[in-house]
Amino acid sequence: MGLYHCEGIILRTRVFGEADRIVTLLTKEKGKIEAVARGARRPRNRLVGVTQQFSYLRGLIFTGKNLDQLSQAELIKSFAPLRDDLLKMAYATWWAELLDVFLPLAEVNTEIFLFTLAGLVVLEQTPDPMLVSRAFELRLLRYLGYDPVLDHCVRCQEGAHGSLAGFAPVEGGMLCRICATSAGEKLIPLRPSALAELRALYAADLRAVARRPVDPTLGNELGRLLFAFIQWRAEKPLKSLAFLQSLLVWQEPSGS
Amino acid sequence: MMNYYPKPMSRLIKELAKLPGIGPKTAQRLAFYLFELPRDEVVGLATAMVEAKDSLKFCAICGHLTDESPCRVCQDTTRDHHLLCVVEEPKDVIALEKTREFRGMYHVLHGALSPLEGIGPEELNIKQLLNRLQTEEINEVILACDPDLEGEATALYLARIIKPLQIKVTRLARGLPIGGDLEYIDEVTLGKAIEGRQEL
Repeated sequence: MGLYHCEGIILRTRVFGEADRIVTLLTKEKGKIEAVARGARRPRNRLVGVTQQFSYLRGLIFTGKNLDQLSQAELIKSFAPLRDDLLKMAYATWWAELLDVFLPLAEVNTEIFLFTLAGLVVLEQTPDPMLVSRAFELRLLRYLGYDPVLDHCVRCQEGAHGSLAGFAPVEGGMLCRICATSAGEKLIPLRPSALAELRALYAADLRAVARRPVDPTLGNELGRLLFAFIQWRAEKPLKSLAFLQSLLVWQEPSGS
Repeated sequence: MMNYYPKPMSRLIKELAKLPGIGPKTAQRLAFYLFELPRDEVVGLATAMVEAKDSLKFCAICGHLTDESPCRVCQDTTRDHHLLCVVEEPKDVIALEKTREFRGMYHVLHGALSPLEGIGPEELNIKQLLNRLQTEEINEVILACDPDLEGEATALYLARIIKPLQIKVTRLARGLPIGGDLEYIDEVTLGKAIEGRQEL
């Protein structure tokens, strides 16, 4: 039995037993971990308020034979505004599901932890999170090593921008007109301006993206591409996406 | 383990162990307790279980657990039919009734929105709620969802679809538990308590 301190963000919580809760934490020190918070569903338990989804906490954890146990926890930041706004909550839940699905347990990745923390701070403050979310999705894909190929054809490496026909989620990048014809892939069309925006979002600071006015058509166009690619990469349906899309009054971009 | 017991006893232990919160040891203790009870008490327990299973249903109006539809609350003419309290589960109706403070009507959603579990508005009793709001004369809807993420999501979602109907939407206050110790209350709850403070 060991004992360790860690700082972490609660990605999800699950009901466990009569009054317990299992929390999935993205921690700085241990990567993604799961721990049981005993009694955390009882109203007067000291863990009840701290173990809410998206809470950023400092915890003391016992390593168990099967499951670690969150013994003590102190709130660093509650991210309460994310729970008071339905759209922000839906975005934060979508991010949490992405992290939960793509990150393996107990693999330390401080970069992703700090990026997620920064992302949640920006999400809390931004009035319209659409573009911020696109930037978050793209950058997360890059951290995971899944970044889509946008500069040239993913098959023949041809780089002339005008020759790119569209995005093929299964191929993981753009296809030129010649490769698209031979591949017979279902392509997602992308306007040159949207492609340029996508490339720019890779390098952009999330705070700067949050300050920019949101063009819903552009956000949806990029979303269509990223959601298809992420779904394909995840190899299973991502449940929170349907909820998010139902809130966005989803509009398919014209020309699709 | 089961081989040590006579067949009826091992079956009883196996069935009892299926109940929530009952492990094999507790199931074994309960089985021996039942064996030692007088026969009519065991028959009484078994009959009560079967009767409850056969006669209970959900009220066609509010969705509360009942043996007659509409339920007693929906039939009660002395209650305020212009005030509607929306709860997640039938257990919540019982909890609110125990307070004896609320004399309005109820609507049970049978769950809460949970994007991570794939539980969306279609899975809940929301369509029926909207029907009620359009056909009954409701002046105020009280959202009494759990104060967790799923409950918050449900309350915010319902507020969003009810407000355009020009109906007052309120939610239960959040704050300190009676008999609690301020020192041990978490920051979020304390913050909500300050936000919802009342003049004395």
